[in-house]
Amino acid sequence: MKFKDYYASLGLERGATDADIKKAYRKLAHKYHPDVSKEAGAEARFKEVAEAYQTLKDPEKRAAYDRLGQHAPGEEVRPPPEWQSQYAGRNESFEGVDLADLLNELAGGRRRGGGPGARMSFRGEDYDLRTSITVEQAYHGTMIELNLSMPEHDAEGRVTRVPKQLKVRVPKGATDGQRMRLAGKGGRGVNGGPDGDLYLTVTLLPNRLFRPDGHDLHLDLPLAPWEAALGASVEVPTPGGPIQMKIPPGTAADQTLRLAGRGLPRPKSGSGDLYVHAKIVMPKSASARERELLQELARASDFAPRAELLRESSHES
Amino acid sequence: MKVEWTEVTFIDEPVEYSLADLAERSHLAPADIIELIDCGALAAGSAHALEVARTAARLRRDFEVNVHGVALAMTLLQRIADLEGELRTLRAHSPGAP
Repeated sequence: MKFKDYYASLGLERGATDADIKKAYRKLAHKYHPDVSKEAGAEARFKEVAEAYQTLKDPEKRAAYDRLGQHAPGEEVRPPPEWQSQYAGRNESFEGVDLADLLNELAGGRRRGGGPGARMSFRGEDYDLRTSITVEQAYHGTMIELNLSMPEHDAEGRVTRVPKQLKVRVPKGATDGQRMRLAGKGGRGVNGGPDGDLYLTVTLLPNRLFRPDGHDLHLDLPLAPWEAALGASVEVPTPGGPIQMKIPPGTAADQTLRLAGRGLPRPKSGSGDLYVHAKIVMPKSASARERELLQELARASDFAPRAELLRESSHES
Repeated sequence: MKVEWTEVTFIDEPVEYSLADLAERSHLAPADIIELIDCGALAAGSAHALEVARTAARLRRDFEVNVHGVALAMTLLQRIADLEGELRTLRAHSPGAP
């Protein structure tokens, strides 16, 4: 059984009072609770904090835990002899047994007391998981692998952690924040109760080109000034592969062009759109010939780009 | 290690859960669920009713607050989610945005 330092998880010394434990837990829960925190790794950190609190707030569990003594986190420890007699039938080394599961059994056994309630059937726990996929994976649909460690009850009601790999086919149609249900893939039902479900939330990984908004995608398209002025046929990347797009003459900077149905597919039918934002870019350096042509254009054109601005400012003054 | 293949269902369709079902799956007391519905934090019959009820149960358990505290937190969390959604849309529409 691997040792976990519950006091260190809460940032406490071993002699901490109940009030200290509660205070430390509340502070850390506000910081790391996955429903309220945006910190990276918050979920894993909260799990650790909650597990520590579940043990240390319960006087009996805390006393049992304290009897293990102080060890380095992750160090293989042997429970005291009285635990071994209490868990007869366990393998002697308690190898692979989770400390929190064992302490819960201790508390559960005490509360149930082996009474008639112990044989009641329960629906298995539902679990939540998060995973990230790329825009391309969302577009085409994808296969993802989830590695889980599921608690399972044996015939005597003892909990063991069973490693399990789920290969999940995510059909096309998912977008950022998509919630999915994997029916019956949660915790095992107890005493014939139905198995729980697994809930999966998918987020889209940041993409260098496409900015998703629901099933629509947005893309910045760099255009040369003459392409924007004269119109052009240009190659545009889409998640389904590059396509040729007609840029109408006189396209202004920041103007948005819509490629209908070229966004992410929706779950049942149809697709979002791809919005192309025109970005007019200048060459870093111009050749003598280019400068000559631009100067000629400047002389020939009577376009007054700031006419509106000047009119407005004369009204203001 | 056990390897299982599985298909997923997207949660977009409204699902009708009975009060007892919602209570069992979320570990909330039926009275608490009714309270959450009454104050508008939970819409029975919405596609996300179970998700909302489970979030409420987590907040209640992990922050050791009563159902009124949970309802207030849920309303504020929803407002944050709405604002984040608006921000995401605005960013997606802004050329040059990250």
